[in-house]
Amino acid sequence: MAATLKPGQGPLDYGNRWWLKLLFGFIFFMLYVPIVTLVAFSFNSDKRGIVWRGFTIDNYAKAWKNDALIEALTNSIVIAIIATIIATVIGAMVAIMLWRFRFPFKGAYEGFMALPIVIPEICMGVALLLFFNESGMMSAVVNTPWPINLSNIIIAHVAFCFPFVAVVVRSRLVGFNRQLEEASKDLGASEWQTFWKVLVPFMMPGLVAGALLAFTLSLDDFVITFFTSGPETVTFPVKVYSLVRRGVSPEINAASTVLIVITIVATVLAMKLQAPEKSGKG
Amino acid sequence: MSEAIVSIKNVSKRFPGGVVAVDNVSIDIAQNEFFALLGPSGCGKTTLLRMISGLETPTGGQIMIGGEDMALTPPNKRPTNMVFQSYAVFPHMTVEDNVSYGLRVTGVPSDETKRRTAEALEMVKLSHLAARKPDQMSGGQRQRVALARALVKRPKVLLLDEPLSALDAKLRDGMRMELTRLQETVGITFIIVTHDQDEALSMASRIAVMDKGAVQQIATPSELYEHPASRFVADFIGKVNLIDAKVLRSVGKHISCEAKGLGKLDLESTGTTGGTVSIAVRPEKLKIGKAEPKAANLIKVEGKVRDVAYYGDTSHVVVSTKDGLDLSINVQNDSREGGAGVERGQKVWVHWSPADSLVLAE
Amino acid sequence: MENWKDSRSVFWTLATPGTLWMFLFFLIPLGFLFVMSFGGKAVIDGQVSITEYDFFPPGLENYIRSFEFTYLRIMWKSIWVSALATALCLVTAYPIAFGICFAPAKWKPLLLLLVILPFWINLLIRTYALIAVFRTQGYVNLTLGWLFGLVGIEFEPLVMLNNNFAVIFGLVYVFMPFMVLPLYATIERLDRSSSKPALISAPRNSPRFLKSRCRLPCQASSPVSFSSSSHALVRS
Repeated sequence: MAATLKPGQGPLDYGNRWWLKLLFGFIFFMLYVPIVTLVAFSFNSDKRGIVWRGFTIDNYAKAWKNDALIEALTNSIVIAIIATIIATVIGAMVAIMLWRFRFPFKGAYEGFMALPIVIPEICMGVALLLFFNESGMMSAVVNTPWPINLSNIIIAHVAFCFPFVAVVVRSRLVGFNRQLEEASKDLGASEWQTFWKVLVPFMMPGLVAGALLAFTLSLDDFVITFFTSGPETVTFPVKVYSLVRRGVSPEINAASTVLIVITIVATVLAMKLQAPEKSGKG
Repeated sequence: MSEAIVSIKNVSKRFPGGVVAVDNVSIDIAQNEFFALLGPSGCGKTTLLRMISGLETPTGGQIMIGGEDMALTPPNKRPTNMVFQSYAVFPHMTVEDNVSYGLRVTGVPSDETKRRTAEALEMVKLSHLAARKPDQMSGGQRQRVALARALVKRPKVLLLDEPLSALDAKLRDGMRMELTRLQETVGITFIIVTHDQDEALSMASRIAVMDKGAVQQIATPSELYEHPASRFVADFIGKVNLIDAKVLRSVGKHISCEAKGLGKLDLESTGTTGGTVSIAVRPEKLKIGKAEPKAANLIKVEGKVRDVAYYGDTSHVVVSTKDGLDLSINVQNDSREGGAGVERGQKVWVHWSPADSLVLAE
Repeated sequence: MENWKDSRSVFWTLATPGTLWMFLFFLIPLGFLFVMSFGGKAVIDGQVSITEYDFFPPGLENYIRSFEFTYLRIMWKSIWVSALATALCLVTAYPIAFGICFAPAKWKPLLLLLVILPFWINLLIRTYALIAVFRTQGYVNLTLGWLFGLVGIEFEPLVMLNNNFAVIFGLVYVFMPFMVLPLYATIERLDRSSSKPALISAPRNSPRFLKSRCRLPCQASSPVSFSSSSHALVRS
């Protein structure tokens, strides 16, 4: 089998070797088995979730009635949405600035902007905790009504998300033909019109990808949130962490499944939105 | 010549860092002219075009369009439109949206926008592709979009930056005729920047040849070709044999000179009285023969054929004289047999009429 | 690129929010942490306070303490666990990247999506999902128990949670997809007809690969690969 080549295949087409296929399959299996079982067992009627005892959606109802869990989920989503919007705007501005201008110490500035990407999360979490405590920001928001009491977490999330957005948007901008801007101005558009009608549409795939990245980073973050959240402002990962310490429950499976569905739907939607229309040339 | 629509007076552009891209250039371009800025790359022609459009600001001099000083007018307020070398067609808009862009951003009423867009698309024969996106189109079609997009604005002057350089040879010929046709139909001034002499010669009514930021000569194509004002222009436009010569005597319009490899010659010349000059002769003006020509009053020289290149309609022959002078000769292949009728290594005589030689000062 | 001096107002409008945010909520907090690392707990009325700090006089006691055996041991463990996890990530990611490269063209997008998908699923959820696999009554132990039962041997469930095995497996499980994309990009770029040695050694020498290999998987590598994966998204 390996010795005979089909037309259009080179001697290095390992894709047809059975052992590679097997290994490939096995690794993918390992990758998805935990997630699939997590979803599957969210429909399990067994309380301890060990063996399959029949299909039910009770877990979802239970999770829905679990105020603490729902609150954490809402907090997470609200934080993620607000942080994403702010981070995308700020990140895009930084990206445009770095792309468009030459200025002194630009290299150092770029390195500075990349710091949140490389610095360990735990350092940032501890530092922000100290800062919020000492500056009085923690006590300032602790008794404010929802969702203002989330502002510290949102601030922290924006701080570690927007550099990622900047990187993504900037890499998109690199491909921009500046003659498009000139053409727009030449055709009578003002600087502002040119920005909105030419530059922003061009950046859109980058903005969507950056926003998506910020959204997932924010929704995903445990370490920094763990340090900056208070008892009233628990997010979903923090809540799951505290629940798991007391043991596995099908309710968590149900809530996790909901979150997985939300992220996947958001991802697919965003990808659809940014996908270039299929051209005739393929 | 009617009144100048574009008047460039002593314009200079010095870039930060000291590079002088355009050096004290003055040109008047008349209404309805098809004007070409021709020169090798880096001669400042594109910078000059961009200064006319307002995308670049002159560091000295004045640019008037339609009688108004443009110094303080930004590009979006000028009565000029540009076709960019990269076309710069907006990739996220359909052809129709691209063409109507310039009208939409300036608040032209929507029914008028629609009508004018349709007209412009009709003019460049793209009506059937109005709903396409640029990435589904060929280079030539994108070029037409860029043209329509600029023409729909009804500018006083249309600026074209190397419009044909990105097209393949076949499309280029078609587009060249198309541009000339368009210019005649819309009746506005076209200023085209090109490094391709054929393009400039075949399309433009007048050409400014530029080198190192300065204008070398402004003339009609035939004048440029037959009466180049300098060695640079003669060399840049078409092929030319340049023969160094030393002026011995000058009387009125006649000079007597000692040319390298040709001996003493009496030629017509204006403006040269002494020193060294170049004698320029176009290759197609040279004749080649096996025997010494009988006629008097011809410039003639004996030499050996060094190279023969066959080009179908013509053959290019290079003849070396014993003094080391190389002469290129274009021979019409007017019969099916024989081609140039000479072979490499053959001894031949090259001759031409003194009236076909031009004396150029260094 | 323009000089910032040519349009100062645009430059400052674009620069201010990001720079300010970074200063206020990143640099100042980190500076705070740094200054505090030289201080100690304040002593008020002869009692060591829990909440108050004392920065003066600054000292190096905290740094000296960090060289105590307890901390060194933890650091060392972090390092070797990271190194091992990285190596295992490589071993598992390589066949996947390789397989996708040589898969039929119509399958590639789907396979890549399958690799990317876990990125978008909450890290904690993915880790939580592992508990069900490895606990005493998890699938691994159940399967092994069933197999042993077939042969008729008594089976003692393995302890696979809350130990080094679980930590390393978890790290590999969570970070492996991050390694697939850079590897895939590198292998894909190689000419298929190139010689076998080149095919096998070139990815290993590529800077991108080295980058992902040198980073500790539990910390820095995740965002880096994350960003590179989203680059792929943007460019596709």
